[in-house]
Amino acid sequence: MAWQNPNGLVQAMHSIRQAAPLRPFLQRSVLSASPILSASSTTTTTTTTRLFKQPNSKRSYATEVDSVDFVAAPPVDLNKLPARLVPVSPSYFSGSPKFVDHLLNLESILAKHAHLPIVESNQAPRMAWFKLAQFRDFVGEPVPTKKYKGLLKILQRLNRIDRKLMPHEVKSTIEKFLRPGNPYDLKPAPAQVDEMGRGRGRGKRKSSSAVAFLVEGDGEVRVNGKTLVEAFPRVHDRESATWALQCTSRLDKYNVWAQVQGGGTTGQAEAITLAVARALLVHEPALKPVLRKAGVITVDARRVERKKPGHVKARKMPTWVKR
Amino acid sequence: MVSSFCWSCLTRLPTASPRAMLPPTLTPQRVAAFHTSSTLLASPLKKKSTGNVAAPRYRQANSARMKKKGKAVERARPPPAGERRALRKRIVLSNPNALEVEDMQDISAENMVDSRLHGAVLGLPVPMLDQLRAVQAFKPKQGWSIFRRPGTVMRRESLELGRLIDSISNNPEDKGKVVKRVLTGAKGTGKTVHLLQAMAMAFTKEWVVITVPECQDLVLANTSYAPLSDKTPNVYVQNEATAALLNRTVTANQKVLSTLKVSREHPALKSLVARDMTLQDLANIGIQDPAAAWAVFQALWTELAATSAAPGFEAGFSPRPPMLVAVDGIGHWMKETKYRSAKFEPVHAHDLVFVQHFLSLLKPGNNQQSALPNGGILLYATSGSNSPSVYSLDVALKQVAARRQGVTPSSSNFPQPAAYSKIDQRVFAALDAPASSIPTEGALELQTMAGVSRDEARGFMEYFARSGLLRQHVTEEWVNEKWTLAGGGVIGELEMLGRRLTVPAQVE
Amino acid sequence: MPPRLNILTARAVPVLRQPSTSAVNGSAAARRSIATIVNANRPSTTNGLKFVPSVSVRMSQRWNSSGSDGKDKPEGYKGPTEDPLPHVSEEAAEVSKIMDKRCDGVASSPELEQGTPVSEILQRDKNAQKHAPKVMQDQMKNQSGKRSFSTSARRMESGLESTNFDDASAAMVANMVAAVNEQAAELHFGEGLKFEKPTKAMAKTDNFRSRYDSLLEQFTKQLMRDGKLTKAYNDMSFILDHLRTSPPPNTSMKRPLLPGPSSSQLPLNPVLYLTLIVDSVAPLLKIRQQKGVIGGGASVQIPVPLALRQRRRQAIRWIIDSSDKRRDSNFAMRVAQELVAVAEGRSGVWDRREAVHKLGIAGRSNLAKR
Repeated sequence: MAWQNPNGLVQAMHSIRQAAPLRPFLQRSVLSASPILSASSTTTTTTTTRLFKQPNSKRSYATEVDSVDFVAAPPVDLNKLPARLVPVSPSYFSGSPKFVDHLLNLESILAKHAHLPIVESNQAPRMAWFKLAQFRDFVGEPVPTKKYKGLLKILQRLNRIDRKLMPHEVKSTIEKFLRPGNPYDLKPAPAQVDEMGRGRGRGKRKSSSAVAFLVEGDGEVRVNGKTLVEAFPRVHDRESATWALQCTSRLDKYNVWAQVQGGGTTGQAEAITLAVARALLVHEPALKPVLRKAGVITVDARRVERKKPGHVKARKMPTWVKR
Repeated sequence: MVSSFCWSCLTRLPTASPRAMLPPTLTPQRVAAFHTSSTLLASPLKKKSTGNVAAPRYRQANSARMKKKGKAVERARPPPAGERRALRKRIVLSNPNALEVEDMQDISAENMVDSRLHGAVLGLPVPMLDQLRAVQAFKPKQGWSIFRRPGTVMRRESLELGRLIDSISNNPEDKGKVVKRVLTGAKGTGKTVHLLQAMAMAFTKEWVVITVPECQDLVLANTSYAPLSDKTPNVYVQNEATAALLNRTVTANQKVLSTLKVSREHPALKSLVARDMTLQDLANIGIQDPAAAWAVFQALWTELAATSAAPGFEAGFSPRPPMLVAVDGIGHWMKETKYRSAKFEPVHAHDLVFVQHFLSLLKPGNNQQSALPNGGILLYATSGSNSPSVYSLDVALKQVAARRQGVTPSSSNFPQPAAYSKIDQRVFAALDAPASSIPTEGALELQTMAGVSRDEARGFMEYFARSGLLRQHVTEEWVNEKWTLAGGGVIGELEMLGRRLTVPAQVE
Repeated sequence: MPPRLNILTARAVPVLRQPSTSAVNGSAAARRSIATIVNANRPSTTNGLKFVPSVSVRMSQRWNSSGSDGKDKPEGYKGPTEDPLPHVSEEAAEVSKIMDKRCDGVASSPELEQGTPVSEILQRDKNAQKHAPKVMQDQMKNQSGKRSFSTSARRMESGLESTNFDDASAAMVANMVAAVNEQAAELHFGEGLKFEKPTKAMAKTDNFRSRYDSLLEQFTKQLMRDGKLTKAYNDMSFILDHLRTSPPPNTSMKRPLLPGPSSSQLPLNPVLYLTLIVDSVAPLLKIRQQKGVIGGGASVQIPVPLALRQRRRQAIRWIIDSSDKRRDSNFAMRVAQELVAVAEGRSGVWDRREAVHKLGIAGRSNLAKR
């Protein structure tokens, strides 16, 4: 233990002074009011117990939450040995004190504002939280993945609080966990119907890619210049290709002109599905929830898995031979 | 041992002993490079008996073959020969489970011209089904088998055809009128069913119906063939197929043919034809004796085409009814067949006298007689599902359409085959039918079948619903949806959509 | 209030259907004549109470038959698509009658009151029709759900031409009118919509990945050989067609199907028929061989209950397996025949089910050792 002999104590004090947030102080020495402590408790003549049990049962945290002007501690009187060193943060012994402090802070804020009305998670603005590596840099501690996920969950929950009613405290707190520069702000401008009255959409599936043009009309569909029947002999594929219009009962209100290339029939049909759905959104953006539920604007990003050297196919290995 | 060399001239004796008997030389004999005869002393190497080590067969893997572990399934023996084909070709016209559509009308002389029935489904009269089966008007995959009884949609083309048939039969102005049509269109657009409707209407009007239900059967080399005569070794006659045609014609048109009497001498048939024979009996001669089938068919044709009796035969002569000639799948008649000539060259379909006869009807008639002197309709359909791609036919049909629109063959707008493409002049010649000089005979026209209209589609879908096969409310919107999914009302596709089942089962 | 009897006016507005607008090539004159005759026929169908020739009633019925309820049809024709149960509102009326003990015909709740729809009044009263608001008149004229205008590309060209007005101000006014119309249309349907908002509630089958009935999907996937799903779908449709055309099953007393509609009604609802067959032979449990419970390397048979999907899977597997013994080359045909055999209680699948159940009953005591 560092403070059991005086020499060690000096060293410990020295090292602690270097690390600013972990600023311990001597219990017996009368300190000028620490900003952290003054935030929570008014008296500076605290006892050991009062540090840990605040009179108004509020916990204080050694975090970077509040910017702190640190005042150097007065020189240590080595004749008066301290009873023991007390860390600023109560989570000092938890291994990752800063993380735990953040967590506790968020939890307390959530508990305080749990009664506020929330919106659906898909309605809440999308936030670019720190990635795990960035967060580790931010706190300077090795945070486990799972624990960070728990923290993100609380952040998401706070983010769902209705924007109009969100307290400033919440807003400022969750903004600290954002990556610099909001990548989700860079949204492309919503597509417009062009001067010919066409809405354009593109879609991909498997190896196929399709472009669809939608104009108001009476239900004519052409795929690569061919009729729907010629392009897709299978009824299932035809249904797939026009699903977006079918589920919104707009099949007789638009004409479709689609160009599709690559892949097989299923891929082509479902690439057209996506393209038509996106083109329909250009005409009628309000249909998005319906189309989402119908599963036609969900991108299926699966592709054929590549073959690997040493394998017979993507995963298959050659038969094991004993000799 | 006697050597096989002549010792005086050192040449081989003509009667050489087997080579194996020659004494083997010790030194290897050099053979001249240009020598073409076999090496003399090549002793026949006897293969070593390799025992049980079998060399791999051609393209066989060398690796050891493991026995598959899958459990052996006890399979029953396959069905006997012919049963599968019978099952495949079986035509089921009734589904007793389907509901009877109560107020469905049958095709009759009155309602085939009734335009109020546009879009309705009309049933085929039950007594007529035997006739229609006899002319093989039904095809296996037309979806007859799920309805209580067969019915067809009265679409625009059907009504027009009904009016045409009606006017040829009843209207004195149109008496003797001949309409020649080639039906084309995409797969499933109802060409064959259009032929079926024509046949049904012709039967109600008591016409004579002659059909070739499947052109492919005549060119597949499935039926016997022979040169027509010694004078024409390049023209072939198919007696069995002709007998089958006569059989179809007699079975379907029994009622009409049994009332008509022979009106002239038939020198080709000599004593076989009696003086007051009915045409049915005449045709039966050909059915019983296929060798005479072609002569009988020609005799029957001249009888049906007769406008008046020959001198001496006036007594029993009655005017001949109009004729409907329906041919399905003419694409197969526009290329070389599987038959071979004596020189083992493929025989062109136009060299078959059977085919020649039917194709010659498309041409304008000669010596002041139209192709069908008593009037009637020629309906030749291409096939969308089973048709060879014949480029010449495609171009020739475009030319038919252009000619019909008044584009002269010398005009630059007249469709021409692409340069350097392989074309078959005989196809162009067969379909090159200029307008006839006879006023009653129409020129060859091209009728393109397309999708049905939305109203017709709705009528068809309601027929499904009322037969109990569709468990949905047939609404305007729903029909429009199906109309689009069927590629713009292609009726074959509508049929597929109508019978398609995706609805979740409503289990109580 | 008299009961609402609307024989021909039930679909008062949708009865007036638009004439065919398709322009198929062919003789235009003939087409026009057909169309005009059909149109001429229409008045007699719409107010055809007085003039009742057989054909036109039949026609009107054909036009009516779809959307209207069965009870509104003139000749009591019972369509197959009709719901055997009464309509929800009727049921509610019944319930309220019982609950509220009011038998005088006065509706107990406002939603049960039956007023006369405006469309009916308009149908009856020609004068009112004439003076109806323009919106309603337009609606009556054009009820196909189509727009009265078109913005297709071809129309656009003529629209572009029409901008060459002599007077530029006229073009501007036209543009403004168009813009206002557009805004009005948007207001009518809602922000970001050009047509009516889809009203129907989204069912599970409205998702494009799960568009088939769950049993059909499962059966089809199990019919699949070598990853050929298209062929499996074709086989499935063959099987359903076979079920719909084969004679109704003579269900055996010993091995009955699950309770459902009578067997004569089954072929007309093949999906239900198939579901009943599969669910009837589906085993309730499977036997798990567990080693090491009683020691000595001996295994005990422990019955394990199955979920619905697992039960169905096992049943389908058995049906396909036993169909392999049939003497027919066509796979779909074999399975279809086996299904009918199951429905009639002739199939060996029933024996397998009973064997499993017997083992399960015998192994009940082993459950304690688990």
